[in-house]
Amino acid sequence: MLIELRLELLKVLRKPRTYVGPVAMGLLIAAVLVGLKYSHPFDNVQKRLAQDFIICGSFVNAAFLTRYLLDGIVYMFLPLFTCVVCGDLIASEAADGTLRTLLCRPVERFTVAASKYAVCVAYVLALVLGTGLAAYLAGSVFLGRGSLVLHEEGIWILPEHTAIERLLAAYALVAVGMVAVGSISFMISTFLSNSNGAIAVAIGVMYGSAVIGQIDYFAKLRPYLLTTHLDNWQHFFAGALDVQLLARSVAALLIYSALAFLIGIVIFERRDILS
Amino acid sequence: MPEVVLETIGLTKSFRKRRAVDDLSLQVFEGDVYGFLGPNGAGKSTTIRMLTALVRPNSGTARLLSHDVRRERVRALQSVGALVESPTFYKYMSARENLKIFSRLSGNCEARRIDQVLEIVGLLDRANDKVKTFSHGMLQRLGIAQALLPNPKLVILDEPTSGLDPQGMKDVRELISRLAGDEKVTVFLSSHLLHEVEQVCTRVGIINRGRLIAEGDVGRLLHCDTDLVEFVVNRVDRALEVLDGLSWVEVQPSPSGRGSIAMSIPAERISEVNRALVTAGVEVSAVIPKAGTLEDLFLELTREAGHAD
Repeated sequence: MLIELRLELLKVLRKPRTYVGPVAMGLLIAAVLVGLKYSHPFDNVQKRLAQDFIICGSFVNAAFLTRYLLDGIVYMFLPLFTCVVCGDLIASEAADGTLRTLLCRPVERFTVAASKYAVCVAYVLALVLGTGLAAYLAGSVFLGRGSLVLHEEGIWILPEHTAIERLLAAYALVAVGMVAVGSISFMISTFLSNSNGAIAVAIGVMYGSAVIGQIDYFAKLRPYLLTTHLDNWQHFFAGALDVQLLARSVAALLIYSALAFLIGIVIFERRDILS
Repeated sequence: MPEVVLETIGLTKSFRKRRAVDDLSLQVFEGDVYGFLGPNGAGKSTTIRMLTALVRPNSGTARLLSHDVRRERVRALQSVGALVESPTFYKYMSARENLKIFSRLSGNCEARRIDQVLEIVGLLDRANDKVKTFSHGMLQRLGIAQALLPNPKLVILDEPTSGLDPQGMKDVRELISRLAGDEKVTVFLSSHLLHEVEQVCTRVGIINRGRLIAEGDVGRLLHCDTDLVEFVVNRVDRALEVLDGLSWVEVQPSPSGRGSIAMSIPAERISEVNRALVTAGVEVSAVIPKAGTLEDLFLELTREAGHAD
């Protein structure tokens, strides 16, 4: 299994599309950073608060940048780049025909699929947590560090160490959510011989889940929807934590991932390789 | 009795309502260069995909080196090299890197084996070039190199000369003969190129519409039809009149064209025909026994199978 894992990692690292996500996230961080640094979005609020409080530093700091970034990436960039890599792992090999050369070798199909899935999970974790870390580091250098000020049902001020903990937890929940998205993408890629199809269907499932979650008629389905649980990262920045709710969301996302993985493995084991 | 290295028993595969392979039973013995012949769409590639565990049969068994392909997949493929249809590689990697990946999946393959197989197929000087720069012929040779990686006892090659130029085809045929001769590798080769099979194979199986319609030694199969004889004469019209009077002579279309007549007659009656022609004033300048070609046999069998259906 270790050999297969290393080989899959080597293949992913040699593919140009692997780097599209990290490069795009880097550019996005830079763009948001420049925007926040030179547009002074909280000057008025800060001035008003300064009449009653002594304010040291700026609201716009590393913690704020890292939190602010999540709004923009959770529903757009992260699912896209996750699916681009995870949906490509099996489907592109099927389309290119390398899958048949690979599976002619004396290696169990389960091992091949499981190594690909492990690489998919590693990539997603690295992309999400790497984005958070890069944003915080870049923010520390260019904006400075400090407390995180939140406008959620009033003004909440989280001290720096609490802010870092909450940011870590929020990025971790988003990472678990993206693993679920990646797992769905992986599952779809086990029966499609077209990586674009796998990417499109996985993103469609996610957006479909988001749309259904907004329609009252389907209210009973909400607890089972992927996006319902993915959305819960916002609870980390809403004052007091509802630990049970967050634990339920993590469990639900893990179940999504496990089911997608198992279904993917069963399909892959039984699939005729005709490409 | 040589060991059976490849065997199928009642192998059957359908895709929806179409039966691609129908109750196929064949045996390949150690040391054979087995030609698996059939027209396009006959079921050759599906059979090879079942042999290499890429496709699950609906029924029947495939065994490689005494291991059931479905139940003992890894053991069955351990000492088998395969090239299934057109060769495919990771285009963004070099030839050496590609072979490194496949060698690691081929069990205990030594690192120097990569250079050995690249040398065998004549690609050692291009080892570090990216595969995306390779021509079709080079890819085909790299595909064969990949199949040779695990020092296989059995090599399964699906249309290995497909898309190659005449020199490339000749090189591959020589390589196959060398593998079978020098390295004692058993070769299972699918092809629809009859002269190719005739040149390199010791045994053949002919498949049509998913069914095996003939199997055996190339020589034995071809000699089923050795009573075909060609007479080169000066007056074809007169010769035909003479032969008309000999009821046991069956005149056939002549393979050589004008000035000759082909006929099916028992070997011991050739002199009798010759005497009759000469007596009637026909000059016979040559009598040529014609061995049947694999092409004749193939066309005859596939035509018969077509009529039977």
